[in-house]
Amino acid sequence: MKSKQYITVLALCGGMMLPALANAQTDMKAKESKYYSITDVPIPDSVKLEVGGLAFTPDDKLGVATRHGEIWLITDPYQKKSKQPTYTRFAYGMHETLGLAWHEGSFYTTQRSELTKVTDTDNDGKADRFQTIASWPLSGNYHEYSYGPLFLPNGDMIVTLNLSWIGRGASLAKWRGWMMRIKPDGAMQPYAGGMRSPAGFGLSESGDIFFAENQGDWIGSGRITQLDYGDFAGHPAGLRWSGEYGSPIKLTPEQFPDSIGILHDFAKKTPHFKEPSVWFPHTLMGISTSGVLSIDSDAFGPFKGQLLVGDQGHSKVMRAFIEKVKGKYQGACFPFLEGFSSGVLRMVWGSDHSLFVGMTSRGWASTGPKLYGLQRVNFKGVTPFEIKAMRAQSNGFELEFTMPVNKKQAADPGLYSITGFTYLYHKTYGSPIINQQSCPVVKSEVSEDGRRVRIYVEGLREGYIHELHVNGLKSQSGLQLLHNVGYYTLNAIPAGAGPACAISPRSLAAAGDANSRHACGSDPTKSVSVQPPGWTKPDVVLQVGTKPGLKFDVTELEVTAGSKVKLVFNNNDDMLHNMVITNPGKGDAVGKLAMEMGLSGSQQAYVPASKDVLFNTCLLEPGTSQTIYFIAPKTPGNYPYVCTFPGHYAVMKGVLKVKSKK
Amino acid sequence: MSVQSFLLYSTLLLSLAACSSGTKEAPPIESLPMDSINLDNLDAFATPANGWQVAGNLYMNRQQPHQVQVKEGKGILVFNGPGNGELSTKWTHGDMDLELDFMLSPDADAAILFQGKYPLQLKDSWLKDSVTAADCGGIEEHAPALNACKAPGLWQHLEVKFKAERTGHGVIDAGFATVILNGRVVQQQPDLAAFAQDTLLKQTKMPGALRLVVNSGPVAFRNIRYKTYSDARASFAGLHYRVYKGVYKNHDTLKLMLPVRSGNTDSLTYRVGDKRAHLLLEGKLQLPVEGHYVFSVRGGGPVRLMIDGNVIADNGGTRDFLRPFYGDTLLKAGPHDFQVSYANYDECLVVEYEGPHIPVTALTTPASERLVEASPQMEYPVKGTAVIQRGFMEHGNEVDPYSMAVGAPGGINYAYDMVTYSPLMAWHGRYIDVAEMWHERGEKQLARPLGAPLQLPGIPCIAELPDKNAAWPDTMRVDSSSYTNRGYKLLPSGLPVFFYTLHQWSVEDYLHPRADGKGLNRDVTVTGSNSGDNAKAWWLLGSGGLIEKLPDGSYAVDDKHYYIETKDKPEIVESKGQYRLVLPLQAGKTMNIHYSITW
Repeated sequence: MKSKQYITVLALCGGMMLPALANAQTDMKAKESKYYSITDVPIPDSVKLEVGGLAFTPDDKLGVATRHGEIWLITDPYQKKSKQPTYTRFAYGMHETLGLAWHEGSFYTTQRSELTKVTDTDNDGKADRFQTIASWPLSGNYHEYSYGPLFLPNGDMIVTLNLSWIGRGASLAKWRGWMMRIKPDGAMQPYAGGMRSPAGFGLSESGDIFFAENQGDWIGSGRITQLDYGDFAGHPAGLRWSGEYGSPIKLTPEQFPDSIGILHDFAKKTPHFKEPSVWFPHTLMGISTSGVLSIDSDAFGPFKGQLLVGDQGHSKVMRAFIEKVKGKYQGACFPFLEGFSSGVLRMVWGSDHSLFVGMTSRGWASTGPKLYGLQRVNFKGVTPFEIKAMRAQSNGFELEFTMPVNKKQAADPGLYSITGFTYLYHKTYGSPIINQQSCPVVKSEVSEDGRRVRIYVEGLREGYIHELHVNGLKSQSGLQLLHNVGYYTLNAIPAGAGPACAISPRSLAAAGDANSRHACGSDPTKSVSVQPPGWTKPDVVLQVGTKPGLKFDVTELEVTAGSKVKLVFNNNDDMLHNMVITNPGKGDAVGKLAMEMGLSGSQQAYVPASKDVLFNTCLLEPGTSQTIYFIAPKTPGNYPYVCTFPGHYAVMKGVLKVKSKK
Repeated sequence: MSVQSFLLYSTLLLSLAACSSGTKEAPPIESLPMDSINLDNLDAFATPANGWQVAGNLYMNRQQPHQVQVKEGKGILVFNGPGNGELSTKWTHGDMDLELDFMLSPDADAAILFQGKYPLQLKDSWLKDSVTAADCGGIEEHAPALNACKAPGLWQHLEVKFKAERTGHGVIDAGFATVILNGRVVQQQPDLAAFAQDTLLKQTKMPGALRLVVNSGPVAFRNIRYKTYSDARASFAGLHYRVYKGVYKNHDTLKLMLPVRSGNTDSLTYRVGDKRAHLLLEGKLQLPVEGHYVFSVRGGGPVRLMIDGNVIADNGGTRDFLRPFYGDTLLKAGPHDFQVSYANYDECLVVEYEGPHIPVTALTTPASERLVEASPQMEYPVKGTAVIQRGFMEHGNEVDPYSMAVGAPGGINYAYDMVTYSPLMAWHGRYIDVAEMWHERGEKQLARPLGAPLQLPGIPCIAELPDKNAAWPDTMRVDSSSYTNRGYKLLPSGLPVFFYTLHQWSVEDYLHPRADGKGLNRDVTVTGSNSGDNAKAWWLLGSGGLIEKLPDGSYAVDDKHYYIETKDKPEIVESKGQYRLVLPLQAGKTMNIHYSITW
């Protein structure tokens, strides 16, 4: 689960963005419903089914652990015999049970401070024996949620322990921020570290553990990471216990300066550090990853072996394709199903390969408006036209589709766009998208059967997320892609076995143009970075830098009306910034327009196409600078300048005073 | 000295100063000490009537009103006379705080009369299902909010904040701002507390003595402590504010900055500043009398209070606006330089002070405080069977995150620690409120008892010791417990039976209501396997302060905090003023231990 700050953010953006999001969702939900149905499993009014865990019993009853510390047993959740399944309270009185498993005649569930085995010894349908298998300390902080267990094939159990929250993620009690392995006899051992809010984890088809992480401090965006014994997943707070007996990790919190930069570079030189396998870009995919479930059959559509990942805040289920490159997992995430009734936390397979989705949103709002819910997803047997898989190649990707594509159309590389970006790895909550750069797709080859398209891409960067957009591609049968976007986390580029690809100078140049145009707003005349011909020298040179805490280092500049101005903007902060000079009184208005640009914002340096924008720099990465040239306005007055990166304009601003000529 | 080394030097000085104030041996006091009535003799009282005496100890039979044994000595005030009795202090009072312990015999009926005429009832109301204004904790026309009474013959604790009648713009009647009986608020008149802070209201000059009136005894008192208040208050002169851009953890940063605006103000509030801006408020604090003063600050963001250039209180930069930070100092009457620096993160700034005969009073305006929305009530009902619920619970001054609350029909409840496997509390009446767990995010995760809880030690009840006088273990590790095979079974009644094993000793621990409703029975079964290592172990029935075996055969535990009754033959072990009631365990045998606790 996430922290307070998340709610604040949601509340801030809520009024503006959610209605639009809701409309978009309704459309998409309708399209998705041709292939997958989402139906309610009815819940009696007397039951507050705030789902914390789901597990089927061998007799096909669905066990549901709740945040009130109960375990409910639902008979016939498939509604085969009756529209209203029967609910029986099997157990109660525990403390916020956020995980559930069935193993050899008992339920196992995680309470805040312990792993508990819950048994009905007299077979009257109600639990009467509660045995503590293992326990761990709590500080009494509400954010110390505990999740699990996940049973491993050998009978060992995995639980995860959320960090405490004190305005930042902190490990106030031993092993908070860790994944623990517990033997059947209760012996407990730290398994992996570096977790912040590890609410969801599961096994892949190959039996590897994947856990889902939520955006927050040190975590730029949601993601899933495969963890082996001794791995460190990125949040340093829990490392204060790495010196304790049993810790397999030898890192200490002191090895993590507040602002590190690029996670990939730091991970490479840091022992134990396991990079995220698949990033789920914040707001582009979801906002709070939750349960992880492997698709274990072909009965749920053409995605066997892939992972489903829930999203609590966006009430959706996403899909991840994973592959091993250079010995480590990476892969791509894709949208899958949205429009669930509450915040998606848990998923489990029914015996008929339908998917049961358990939800709660108390204290953590979700786009699905209900406080809690249980829904079931059935595959309708009709294959959707989807990007099934996205595989890294030495110089591009192989896209696999769920059905043959229009081969002629698919051979056009212009159909595919690839953009690389990453996040800052720092103590600050969340991260902007940084180092965004589009990568030219120079060639595409379609396989004989039409199911695979090999795209050749320039400018791929190791350690970066690569966004794929497929624009207008149809299947052989004329269907549009159900979802045409995916995000590949390219931790490693496979060794260069692929054919060298010939790049025509023209395609590179075109891509290069597109790059510069996108990165500096829509009107290049407002962002001239070469001294205009005819100027012998500027009348005035202005220097503006940045200061930490969203500030320009100069908040007042002065020029004469109509003078030739050379402006050097130096971004020496640790975030992305631009500098936009506006018409008098329009600084805030332009800043607001930039926030409303949505996803196109980052493509256009968050510079809105507005007549009130007079001049602007590009969006500058930390530690870079740019010079622009312009003629100062003819009309004297106070011309505001702002950084229009979303959220910055309210505080990051200054005034360009234009004086009349003497 | 170069500029750089000068800066370094001053930083060093600052951090040294911070260290020395931060590592004081004793934490700062949060409240001025109370005065106490000397109970070496009856000299504190005007013309003592017959039937009153001082004593060193006493025993009141729990069932028989006049079976009282008084032991010579001092420190306890006893009325053991026939008929009724009355005692008045020599001093008089207006506003006052009072704290004391009292003991009632069965059916005893007494009252404390504030200002000589405003009664607070002290009456044996133990186990009454419904209480009226005449019952313990009642005041004129107002029944106590709950029955917080303990059994006769036990010490009960009372805390009162009394407000005298006031006039000014309208008359405010005298009354009780709060009455806390055995840890639970039984009376609360918040208006009185607010009006008492209103400087426009003048206090009527008709102080009276504090009177103890007994209609039927015996009744005893001890630890009578109080604070009386005058009407004098501190005031400000020349209050001035400056607003700085930005918010700074280090308040001295402001010295390097120019304010963005400044001006005079007549009141101390964050509202003269800006959101997300640093505010400096300065002026003269005019004190009415010389003496010991305690200040507190609390704020949503860094707050520092300085008086005469000295840091008095500092919240260390926290944004926890509910947590006060204290500092105390001796100050002369007259004007003092006063400065509050506040980095306004979350719009809450509260500065309070307490002085000689001056109650805790806010220097900031009411609008400067950020109010917290009270969570709604969510009472967990107890119907036909007993119920359990795990959660965090307050135990003493700490939060125990491993608690289970158990509620049985008939209004007998207890809480149990699932790490030490030991009772934490027991209370009569309603079970728990779970709003702080189940409303919204439940940031406190607290299950709150709805009765007055008897606090129990919560330490392990079984220990292997070399001999009975060895130190008893008072904790248990959470992540590598010495207990194995631990948990609980639920009986058809809904009550849990806890089980665990310590080395060779297997324990079952079952607490259930006494048939007569007067407390809890505890049935413990310990099976000691023959491990051959001759380990010696004991079971702990009770512990704490003085444990006495009473004439009726029961035990009064922890200085007459509660009773234990048993047919077993436990032993009282004393070490350094701490007492234990223990039974030795035997290897190779199953022992059944039965006792009850009554409070």
